[in-house]
Amino acid sequence: MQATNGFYITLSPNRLSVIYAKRGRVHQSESINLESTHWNEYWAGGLMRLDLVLRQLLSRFSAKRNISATLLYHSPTLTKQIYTFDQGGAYARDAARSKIREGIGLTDPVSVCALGADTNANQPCTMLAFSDREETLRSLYAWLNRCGVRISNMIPSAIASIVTAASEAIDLDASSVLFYFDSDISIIAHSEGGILNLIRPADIGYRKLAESYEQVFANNPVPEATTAPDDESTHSQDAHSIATSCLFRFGIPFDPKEYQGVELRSRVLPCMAPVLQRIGIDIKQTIRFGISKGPELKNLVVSGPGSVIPCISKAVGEHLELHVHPVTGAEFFEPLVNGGNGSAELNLIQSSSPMPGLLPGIAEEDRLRKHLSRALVAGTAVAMLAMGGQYTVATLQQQQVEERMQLDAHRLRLVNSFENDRSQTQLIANMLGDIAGLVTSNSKAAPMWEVPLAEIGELAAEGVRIQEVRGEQGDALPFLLINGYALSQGEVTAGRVLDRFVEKLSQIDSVNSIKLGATSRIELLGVASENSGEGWGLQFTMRVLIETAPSPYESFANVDSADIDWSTP
Amino acid sequence: MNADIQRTFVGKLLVLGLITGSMSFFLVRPKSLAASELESQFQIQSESIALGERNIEQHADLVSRAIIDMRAARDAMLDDLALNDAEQSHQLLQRTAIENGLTVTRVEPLQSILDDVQTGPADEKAAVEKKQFRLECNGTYSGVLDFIHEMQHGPRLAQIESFRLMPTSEQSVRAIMYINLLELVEYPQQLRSDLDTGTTDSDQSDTQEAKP
Repeated sequence: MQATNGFYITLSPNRLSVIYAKRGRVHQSESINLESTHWNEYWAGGLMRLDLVLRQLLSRFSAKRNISATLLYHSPTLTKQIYTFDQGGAYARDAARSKIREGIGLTDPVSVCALGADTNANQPCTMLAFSDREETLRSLYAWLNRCGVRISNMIPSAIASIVTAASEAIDLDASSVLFYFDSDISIIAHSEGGILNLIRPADIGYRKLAESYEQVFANNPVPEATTAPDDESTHSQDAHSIATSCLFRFGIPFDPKEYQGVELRSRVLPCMAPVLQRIGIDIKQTIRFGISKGPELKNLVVSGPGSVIPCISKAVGEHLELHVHPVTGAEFFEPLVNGGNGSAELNLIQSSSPMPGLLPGIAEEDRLRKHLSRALVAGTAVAMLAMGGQYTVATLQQQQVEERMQLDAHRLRLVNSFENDRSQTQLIANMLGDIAGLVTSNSKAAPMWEVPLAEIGELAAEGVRIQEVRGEQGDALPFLLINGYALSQGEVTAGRVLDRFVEKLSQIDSVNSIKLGATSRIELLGVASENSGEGWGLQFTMRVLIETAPSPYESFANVDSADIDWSTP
Repeated sequence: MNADIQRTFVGKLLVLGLITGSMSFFLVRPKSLAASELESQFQIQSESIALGERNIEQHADLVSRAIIDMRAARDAMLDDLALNDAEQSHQLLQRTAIENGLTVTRVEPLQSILDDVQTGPADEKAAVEKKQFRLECNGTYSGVLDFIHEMQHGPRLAQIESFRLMPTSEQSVRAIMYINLLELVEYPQQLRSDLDTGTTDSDQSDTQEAKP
């Protein structure tokens, strides 16, 4: 069961009631009886005469603001049609809408709904299409707006009865026919296998039977205080209310009864006879011509608020060969109680699916505007949420990455420090290499002067006299230019002494080559030879080419800085 | 749909679309771009760290050894090419000669040649000055040889360009020598600071006058 909260306003020719439902139950109900004779005047005046009445009713509900309500109303201008289609779904809805439009035109609002279970496209379907005049709907809408009621749906009471009857008929087996008896409408319905195959509304209800009592009492007035013990919510009792109370109290007076001095059987039953006859014929003809196939019918189940009228089963089944009985649970129906068991209002409150209704064009536009505004707000909210989500995700992602980067910061510092050291090392190596290159370009290879000079000193004692030694940087190699003379020693001639001197010089490692220059025999005055006593010698000049020692900077200048071995500067 | 409602709806839709679009463009998009850019930077950083750690593992010893070796080489070079003023160079030659038993009769500074090179990341200047001296002295032959040896292999970068030895007696010779002294007069400050601190300081690009 759907838990429905909210207000339900019922407008019928003889009553205006307001029900506040909470969790599928009637929480509070208030009603005021109306003069049914003024019904047409109410409509002619745009229902303005009901403004005060409705406000009074609503004022009895404490702390209820911004009332949103569903209106159940008895319409004087309702058009309803029932169609059966071979296919259900959208096709059936469109077809039903088109068919009713053919009759009423394009201006009035139309509503359609599937009766019974909403079948799929491949099964036969019974559709109820109904419409009301735009003026009627506008009058109702304006009336409710004037009273501060925000209307959500307006349901003609006949439509509510048809929908309720259809849903009850679905639950019966194929051998039973439902007779739904409401105040202004009676409906005959039959289903087979859960599919509705007949539903026929007739605009005759128990109000006609109540009018019989009313007609009799009009000739024999009944005191008010004693006539309506069952209806506690009414504030004033009119003739119709009294008659309705008597109808549900005494029912169809087949037996002789007297009420306030009025003999009911003889006075009321004749007035009811035409109504009962019409109902009986309706049922008989509908069963005969409407239900021709299927299993044999055995039961006629009387349902609706009228099912609790005493002897109603006997009255409607008088000429039928069917077992007529009230629907299960009918004994708990409270037709005179506002929102009581079996009432259309309670069915509406407890309905598991929304009841189809009508709204005027202005309300539809208002509703459309609200829907569009809500859609815009929802769309904006979704967009904002999406953006917020994206922003949050990006922020979180950024924070996570920053945290991870922070965690790696130490490693990064180490790596950067190492890379700096490395690049710095290369940079310094380059600088040292450049400076070494500069030094190398400004200093020639160092001649190894001292080694041959030392040897020359040693050799000079062996018959060689050095007059002058010069050291010069030659174009290719440095050289020593030696001027001197050799002395003969004993049997060794000066020439031989010179040869020996040259030979020994050439054996020095750092001496590259020796070029002997001109030699000449000279007389050495004051110098006596050891053997002959004559002072003769051999004058010579020679050029001794000397090796150079490589500069330590040369290797620095020529080696790649990345591979240089600096351990031997 | 009613044209008025439709117009209103479309107007509101456009305004809201503009607002949300603007917010998305100016607020959310930069944030997302920043996040993805940061993510890319993190990827690059991670790869860089992994590569760097491999480098550290493979080359750390080599680099630290190179730093030590280069520091020694630099120190040796700076000592070898230490800058002296003219008087100090003069005294150096005289002192070396006297220490080797020679009698210096003449020390004459001749010419001085300055040469430089651009080096380092900021093309800083490194300059050497080649100072030439003429030295005349008397002494024993071995003393002269010792002097030559010390000049060529001593702590200073000096070079005997040419010389002339003439015996003056059995025990002594007269020597006339042309000696080049090479001095580093200018070099990048980085050369000294970086190796000593062991850290990078590329801002220190000033050159400095070499101190003796």
